[in-house]
Amino acid sequence: MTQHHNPIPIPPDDPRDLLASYALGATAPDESARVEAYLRDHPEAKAEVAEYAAAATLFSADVPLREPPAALRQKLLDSVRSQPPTRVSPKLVLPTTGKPPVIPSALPSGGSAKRTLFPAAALAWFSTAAAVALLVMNVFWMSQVNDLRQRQAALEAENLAQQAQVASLERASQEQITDAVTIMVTGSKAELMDDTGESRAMVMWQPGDTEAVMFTHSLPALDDSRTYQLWLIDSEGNPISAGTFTVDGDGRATLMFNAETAIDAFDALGISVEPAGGSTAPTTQPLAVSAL
Amino acid sequence: MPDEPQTAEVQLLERIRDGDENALAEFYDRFARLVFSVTYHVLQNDTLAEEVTQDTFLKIWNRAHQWDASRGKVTTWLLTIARYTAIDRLRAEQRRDGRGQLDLEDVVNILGENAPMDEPLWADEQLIRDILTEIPADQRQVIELAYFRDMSHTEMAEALNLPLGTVKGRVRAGLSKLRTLWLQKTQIKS
Repeated sequence: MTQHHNPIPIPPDDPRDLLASYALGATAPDESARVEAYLRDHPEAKAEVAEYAAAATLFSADVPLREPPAALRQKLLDSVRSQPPTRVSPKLVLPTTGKPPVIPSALPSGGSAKRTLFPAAALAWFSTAAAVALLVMNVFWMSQVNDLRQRQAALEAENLAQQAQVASLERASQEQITDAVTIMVTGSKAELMDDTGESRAMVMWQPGDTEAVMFTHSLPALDDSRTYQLWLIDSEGNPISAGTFTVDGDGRATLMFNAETAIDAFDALGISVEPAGGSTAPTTQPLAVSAL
Repeated sequence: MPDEPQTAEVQLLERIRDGDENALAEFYDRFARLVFSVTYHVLQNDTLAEEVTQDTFLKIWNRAHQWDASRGKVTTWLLTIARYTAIDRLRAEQRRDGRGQLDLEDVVNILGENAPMDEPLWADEQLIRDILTEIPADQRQVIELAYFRDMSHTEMAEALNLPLGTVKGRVRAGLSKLRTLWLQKTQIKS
């Protein structure tokens, strides 16, 4: 007769024993959650986490030294000349009614599947609609802000580390959340609306910065053969992909993206439905757009 | 740590915050070698390390206003940004090439090739050496795998063929000792 033995359950580690690993980002998600709960109840332990993280940077002094490429210095300086440093001053970007985004007229040659996007008929409505919608921060967006603020509170240990100039204490995803919260609190905003004037997404960024975060709301779910794609439209009407995304059961998605130039420099934003994997240029009518 | 370099670094950051490109150039001259070395150590690729080094200094340019001189050393802040930017890129590259995870054998080999620091870096190099040499090799190994290679407890246990509890214990013991030594010796110096 076979005798089955139940495995002896392993008790979870004491959160205090995980502080060092947490500071390195080596903890599993469930362990991180327990450490964060512990830090909320024991704020005095946050300093210990920050000290672990700071102490770990000493290892950087022991790496083999390498010279960076000589051209990198000039590349960096050329890059910053194209963008001023980010300022903390909040700014609400309202759509400009006198400067609608340019409709792309030149399509890549040979791209038979690529069709014109954002035709004038689809764009004509959004200046007025965007102006109205942007002036009304509706309940959804407030809930988004509150939700992220709650998540920010849950990442209190990381914030401490930032305050201690150790930046982030956990995985990079947490750093991204903090970035997103920073952008939401201090950044510029643009709301993307559909052709009924209903808000579908909001994009937020720091003035002058190339990094932004987008939240969607009530977008229809897509089958596996299609994906949503966010586009930045430059001053000449050229669409630049900011990334593809899918939505959850409530039509929500969060997308952080980096543009090659400051977000402010673009004229418009749009979301289109594309084949799975995304497209090099929009192939369908935009379902939500906003001027910048 | 010496006060004078820290003061100079603070002044550079204040000028960067005000949009002074020359200050950024000076800051780059002071730290580029260190940042490039760290990002290369994480990524093991010159091209990626170059891109991440540029991204790191761009973040300094864009986020100088977030740094608070009363709360920490410039170098700690810079290196933490450099490390996380490199780790971010490491994860992106892993997703892009479909590997999904690190080549663990390579990782262990890479970490075994560390050369001793050959010149002063951001602080008192002898002090740092003294501290690091007091960390047992097995503890140092797991800390470096987590710090430079973004490895979790589980990944380290698999790579090193060790029980998970042993890995956790080594991380905890090693980093606790490092923290204690760091606090003790910096207090003695000050």
